Amino acid sequence: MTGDRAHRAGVSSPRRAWTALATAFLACVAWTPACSAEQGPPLYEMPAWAALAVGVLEALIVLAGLVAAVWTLTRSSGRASRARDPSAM
Amino acid sequence: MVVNDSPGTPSLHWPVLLALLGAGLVFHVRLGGLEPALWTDTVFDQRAVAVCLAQDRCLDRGVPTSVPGLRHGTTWLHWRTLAERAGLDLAAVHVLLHLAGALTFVLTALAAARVAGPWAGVGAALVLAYVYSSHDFQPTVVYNNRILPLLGTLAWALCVAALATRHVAPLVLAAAVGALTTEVHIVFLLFAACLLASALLLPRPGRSLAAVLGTYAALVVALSPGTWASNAAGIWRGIGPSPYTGGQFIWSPLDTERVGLVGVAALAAGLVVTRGERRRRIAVLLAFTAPIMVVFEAAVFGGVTTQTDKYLGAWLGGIAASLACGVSVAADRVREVLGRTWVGARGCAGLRGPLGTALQACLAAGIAFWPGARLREWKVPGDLPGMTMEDARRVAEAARFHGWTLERTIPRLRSLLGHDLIQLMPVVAPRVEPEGAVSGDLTALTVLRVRPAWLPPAMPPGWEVLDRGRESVLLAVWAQSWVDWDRFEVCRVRTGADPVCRTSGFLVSRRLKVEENQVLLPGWPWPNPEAEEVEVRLRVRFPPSGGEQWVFVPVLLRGCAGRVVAVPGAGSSIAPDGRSAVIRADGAEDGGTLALRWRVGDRDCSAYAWPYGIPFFVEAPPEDARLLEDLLSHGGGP
Repeated sequence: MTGDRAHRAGVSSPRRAWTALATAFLACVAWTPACSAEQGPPLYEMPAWAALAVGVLEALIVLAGLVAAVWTLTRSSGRASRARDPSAM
Repeated sequence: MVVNDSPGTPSLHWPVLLALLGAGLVFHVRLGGLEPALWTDTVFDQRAVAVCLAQDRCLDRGVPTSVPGLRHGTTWLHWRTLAERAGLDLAAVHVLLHLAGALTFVLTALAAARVAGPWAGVGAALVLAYVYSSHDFQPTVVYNNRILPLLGTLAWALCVAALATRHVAPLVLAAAVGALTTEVHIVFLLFAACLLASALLLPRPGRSLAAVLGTYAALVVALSPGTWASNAAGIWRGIGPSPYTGGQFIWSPLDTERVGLVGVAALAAGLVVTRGERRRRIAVLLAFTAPIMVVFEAAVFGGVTTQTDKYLGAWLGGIAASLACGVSVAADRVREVLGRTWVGARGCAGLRGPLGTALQACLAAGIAFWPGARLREWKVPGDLPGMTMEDARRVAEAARFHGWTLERTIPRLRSLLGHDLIQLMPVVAPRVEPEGAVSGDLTALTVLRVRPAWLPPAMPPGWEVLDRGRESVLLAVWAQSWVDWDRFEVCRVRTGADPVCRTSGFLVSRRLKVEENQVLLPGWPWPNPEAEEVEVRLRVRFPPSGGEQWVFVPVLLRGCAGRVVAVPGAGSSIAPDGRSAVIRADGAEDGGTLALRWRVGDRDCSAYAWPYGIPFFVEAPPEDARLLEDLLSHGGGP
């Protein structure tokens, strides 16, 4: 899909994204208490492999965050300062 | 006049960061030791992990918070399960958490340096050492709060990185890390304010905002739908106040709160006197720390929570950076007004050169050997050493050699925080079969950790050391008890009304259940401290040989001290303050009732020490009781 078509279709429209987000949130809020109050919370337990898989995913997110933060805050800072402030070299 | 900030604030360099990492690790090992302390949350987590791996049933709605109706911590349980599966024991996890604390120093310094320059980074690391060493987050314990400083600081640092790169990608990562942090502790929901401020300061703020808030909300719910369904149901029904209030359990010097308030004020002033890129980064830091400080103060003044700064754990790095950055900006302002450059300020940018190297060494040594970073005992009153998770296995093993089963040991085990010990024993030693013959004379086991120097010069009969460390020893005292610990009456006592009593006793379950204690006490009440006291009536049987038995109730920090209200025997007596009694066997009687009464939540009776069993008191022959009283007097109780 080209940028123009995407724009015309409104796919990248922030308003559309906001509407979808708000709808999902309201649906979630409306559904869970009603469901939980009567039937108990869904997905109370999961198998060990699923817990381990999600744990790996969560650990990878933190690892990616650590690498990104250290990389960005050390490297690009030095480059920016050399580019914009020669006295910092 | 405003401080004119250059967009490319010099950062800290690798030698400084590596020095901070090493120093932070030493700092945390000094603060938290190498063997994790015995603690209720760790016991709960350990049981959940054991059930997950052994029965293929993993908890997907987190663990209960101290606010009834709310839960969190699924991510933490995933990681604990992962570590257990990888073969890491609790001691290894404890060291990993020390490493996470060390990384917090690095990230705090790095991000603060990007906000207000390298001196702010150095200052933030030093302030962090100060707040870490006084903060109420239990560095000796393996539990979810320990990982919060790293996760919270990482989330904020990624917001700073997003501003530095002017790109939304780091902010999306910040949202993801923020979602994980919220899973670990629900109070991090306030991080949404920081995401909001950061997104609005990026190019295309609308799209950035949708991307980061969408990521945050989706991940928070998707990683643990059970938690949030449960929380929504809890809020729907109405959440109640925390029952864990009162007593002397909570110890918090509130230094973190003070630093946070001053830091937020300094940052707010900095926002006024700066402009450009630095102003944006200060705004993001302010959006990170200000909401939690406002909510925390409101909650404390509104009586919603106890005044403990443990809720600020995820913000430790941000709070330290707030103060350091606020002061740094003020210093720059003064420098501009005076028109002078600080000695070495420019030359040491990034802490390079001979002077910079010397400063690095001083900084690292200052953090590694920070005076406040001493092992602090959390689990027991006063200055008594805390018991460790491993102690549960040691006690179970010792009982086995004396021919005691778990069912026999648990009711007869007396310890300062015995409820954690007895709940953990079936988890760590579920299939221990006894060895040796049971001695009929020894009917109670008191277990304490004490300093080696406090032990009597010659160990009396029945006293043994189960573990000997440099700082403390695990002492077991086997003694004769006159009490029938298998069954007792527990009564709610209201003024002007008849006591309401029921029979109770310890039930030990060998089958692990994910959300159920292994040791149950049917009918054990959670009393309303305003309206009632609780009385426990124990059956005492006099030995045929007669004699004396002493009872004393130590009043200890974070303990729950009761008062003796009834003793059997015509010649028996109770001290006027009710804290001790002497039971004398009367030839005319075969026994009677020993009754103690507690007002849970009172100054001397922490609610934390109440929920799962009879709080600690000593009932022993005079010679043992006297020695135990001497030992406990070292504890510095009030």
